[in-house]
Amino acid sequence: MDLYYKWKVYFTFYIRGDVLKNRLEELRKKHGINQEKLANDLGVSRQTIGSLENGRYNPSIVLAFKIARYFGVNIEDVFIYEEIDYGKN
Amino acid sequence: MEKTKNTMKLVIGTALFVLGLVLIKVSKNSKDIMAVLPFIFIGVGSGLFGESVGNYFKHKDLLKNPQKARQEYIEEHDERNQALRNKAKAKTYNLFQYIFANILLGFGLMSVDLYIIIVLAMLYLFLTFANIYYINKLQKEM
Repeated sequence: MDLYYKWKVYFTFYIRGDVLKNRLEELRKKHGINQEKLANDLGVSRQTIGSLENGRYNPSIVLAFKIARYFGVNIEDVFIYEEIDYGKN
Repeated sequence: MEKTKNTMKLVIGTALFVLGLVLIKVSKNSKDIMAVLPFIFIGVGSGLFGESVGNYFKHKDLLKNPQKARQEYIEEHDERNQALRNKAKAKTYNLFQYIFANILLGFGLMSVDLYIIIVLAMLYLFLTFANIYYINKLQKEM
C-alpha cells in the first residue's frame, strides 16, 4: 500500500501537465485576439501564452487570476483541475 | 541611479586603462607583480569602458523606442522566463557539483600539490554551505 501511494504521488507529479487543463485558446479565439495582443495586455511573453495553451506550463496563481479577469470569467472557467484517481482502476 | 552607476563605470574604466598604460611605461623590465598588474588594469578598464558605452547606446535606443523597452521589460520579468532561468541555474549547480567532485578525485589521483586540492575542497565546501544557507533563508521567506 505504501509503495502504491508513493507511485501515485510520483505519477501525479510526473503527468502534472495533464492534470491541469485550460480553455485559454478557446477563450482567446472566442474574443478574436491573437497571442501577441493577449501577451502584451497581460504583461507576459508570447511564448508563455503558447506554452500555457499547449499545457506545457502551469501559470502562477497571480497570472491565472489575471487571465480570468481579462476574459471576465471565474478562474475555474479557464483552468480545469482534474483529479485522476488511479485507485479506482 | 542607473545613469550615475554607468558614468562611474565609464570614469573608472578609462582611469584604469590610462593607469595601466602609464604603469607599463614606468615599470619597464620589472619582474614582480608590476609585470602583470598593468595588463590586468588595461583588461579590466577596457571591460568597464566597453560595458558602459554599450549601456549608453542601449539606453538611448530604448528611450527612442518605448514599445521595445516595454517588450524588453516583459521578457525580463516574464514568470515563465524567470522559472526557466532558475531551473537552468539549478541544473547547472547539479552539473557543477558532479564536475567539481570529479576534478577533485582526478587531481587527487594525479598527485597534484596538496594545497591546490585543499583550496578546491574548501571552495567546494563553501559553495555547498552557501546552498544550505540559501535553502534555510528561503524556508523562512516563503
